Amino acid sequence: MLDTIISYINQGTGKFDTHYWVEKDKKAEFPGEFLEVIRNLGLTTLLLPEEYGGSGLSVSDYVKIVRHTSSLHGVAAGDLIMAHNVFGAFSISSLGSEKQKEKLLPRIARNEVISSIAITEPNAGTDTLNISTRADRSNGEFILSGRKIWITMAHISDLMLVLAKTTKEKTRSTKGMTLFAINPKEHSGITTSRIDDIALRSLGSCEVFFDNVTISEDDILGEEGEGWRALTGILNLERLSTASISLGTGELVLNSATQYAKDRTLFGKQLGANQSIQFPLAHGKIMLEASWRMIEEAARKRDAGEDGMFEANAAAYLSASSACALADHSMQVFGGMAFSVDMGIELHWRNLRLFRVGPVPEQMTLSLIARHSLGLPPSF
Amino acid sequence: MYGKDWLGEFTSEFDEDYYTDVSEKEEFPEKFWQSLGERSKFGLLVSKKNGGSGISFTEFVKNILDMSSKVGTLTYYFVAQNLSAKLFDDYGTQKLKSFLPEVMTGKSKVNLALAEEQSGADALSIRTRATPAENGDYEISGEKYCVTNGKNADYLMVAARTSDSGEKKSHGLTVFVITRKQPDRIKFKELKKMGLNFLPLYSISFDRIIIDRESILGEPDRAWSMLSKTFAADRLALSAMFIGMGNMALSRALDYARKRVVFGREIGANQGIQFPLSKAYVELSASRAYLEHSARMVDGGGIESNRDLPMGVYYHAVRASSSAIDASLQTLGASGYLSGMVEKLFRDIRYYRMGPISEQLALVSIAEKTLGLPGVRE
Repeated sequence: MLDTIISYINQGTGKFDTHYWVEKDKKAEFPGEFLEVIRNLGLTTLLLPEEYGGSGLSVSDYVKIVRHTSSLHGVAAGDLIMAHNVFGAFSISSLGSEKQKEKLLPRIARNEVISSIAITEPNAGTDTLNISTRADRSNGEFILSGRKIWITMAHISDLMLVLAKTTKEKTRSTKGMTLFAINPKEHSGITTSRIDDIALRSLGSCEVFFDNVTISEDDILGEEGEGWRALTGILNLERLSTASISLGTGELVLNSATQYAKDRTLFGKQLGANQSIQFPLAHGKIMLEASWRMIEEAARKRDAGEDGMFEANAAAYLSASSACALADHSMQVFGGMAFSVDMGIELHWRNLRLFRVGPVPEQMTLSLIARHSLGLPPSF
Repeated sequence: MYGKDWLGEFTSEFDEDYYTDVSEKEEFPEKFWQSLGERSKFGLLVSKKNGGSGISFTEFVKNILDMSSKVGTLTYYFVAQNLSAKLFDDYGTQKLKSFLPEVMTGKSKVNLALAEEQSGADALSIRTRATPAENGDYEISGEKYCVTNGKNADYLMVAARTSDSGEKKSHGLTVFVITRKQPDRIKFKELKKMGLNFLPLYSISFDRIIIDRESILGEPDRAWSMLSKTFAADRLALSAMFIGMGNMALSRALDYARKRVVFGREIGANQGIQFPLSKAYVELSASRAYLEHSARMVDGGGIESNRDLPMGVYYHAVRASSSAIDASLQTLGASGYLSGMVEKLFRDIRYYRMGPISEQLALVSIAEKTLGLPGVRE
């Protein structure tokens, strides 16, 4: 089945070339044509269980598809697959109430939904426990107020997972936060504003303002006060997805740079015959191979229902740093040509840089591993 | 962690102190060797029909990971003798197979003598020659360089050139198993070095040694293909050892970072100390995942078409281990610089960045064979 999907991806998405992605990025224009094709290929419902009309793929197979698609089209393509599968299909089918499933899963299966997740805030980047967006109970409903930032595709989203405080107590506990699943288009009081940024420009990243938005109890995803727990499974899958996007895009730049190093002749010999050119490419290849084995291990653990927190974080860290280093070396291999936007090299260099900062900065990952895997004392 | 160790025991006297002790005394780890031998732990890869354990390569790698996280580089002896026994099992004549019981129990030690002073990493350029005599025997003369454990070996597998006329440069090499029954025709010279102090290194000269055809390992003139297969296994096995060595240093450093208080707090609370340790753990874990994948491919037969995989694993593991040991030494500060386990691992691991395969040659191999980039060699 996996081989079939992969050959469909190769056939179906071949027309989206470098020029397509460069133009979308330049114009900050949504790649709707590409989304249409991958929707028809079923790539947006890979993690939707078969009973709801999806493919019901294992995580081990899902990451292979994310990697492969990214290796052909880069970060934006991989991110589209992640958003649909993780924040849409997976989140609703695994955490949704019967009512939510009934309402949302058929729409997800029919590809009528673009999903997003809204956690980060201007004053609570990585420090999620410190968020100030609130949802206060009032006459059996909730009033949502606050501000989120760096929300990918928020401006076109039909399904947004929003994390808010639902307790009045001033606490840094993981209790008291609730995850809601809402359709921003059905509510008044939600406005989005695009940020002029350097990564994922075609998808768009936004600030989102919630101004006394009335939402219902039925919008709670999971349990009230248990938003943190609900997020754990989602964010773990997000790590595995970004790891696979980084890895695939790392392969894309490796392949481009290797080809260029073979084609380009300088001083009467191929550029790639120089060890200063070929060694960083070979080094990068090895780093990607090792990172991929870590992703596989994390995915296997997840499929087996084991705790793969360390593996998923390690995989995301390694893939991002390896792919970024390769993208940087590719800029060197292409030399001056890399600085031409139309070559489409700097696009990946910019996009990949994102994953060393978000969704979680390298420093936070290392700190988490130091504390939880190595038993070292907290550093902050 | 809490299961039985490689000796099949819950606790073992062979630990980091033992490694440190024999390294300090520059001794051969006799008790360790005997313990392994008594349990036939040198026949793990030998087929059951020839009296071995016939375990999978994946299982072998697990043994190495476990062992090397306790006795570090001493694991080299375990790796080398097991791979030698496997060569006898796979390629040995009746005569050589008859040596298997003494090899598997460690009563006889086997080592490989391949490199020569001028050949270095270019193994195909060796000059040691074996010329056939009229009665079918061979006469070998030449010099070998950096032969591990050479003088202690009961059997030396010596690679020699037997013909130059092959259509490929890799043709024309033959491996002979030489016993030490001709002492005056074999001369040993010990080489002093900066680490691996439990493992003596020799240069050896052979002066017209007579060897019978029964002592040829594998097919005459075609030794290179046999050796390449063994090198692939050797690279993976050594990678497992590097990962274990890294973990051994890292656990010492972590222990220290949790307890040692400077400026009123544990040093492990400083990001400057803890992040390099986290990074080391992440990289060692990725090395292990990469290695285990490759070991499964060895067992499944897929390694034949992926000969570069062991190169990649080796490169990744030796670097991950070197960084982990270096970060551990930095964490331990002056106490790590004093004679002890970590400084010994530090000097030992440095060797493996140069040999048996250098980092540069590993990269050349990946660049040329995996990525298809042009070669710089002839």
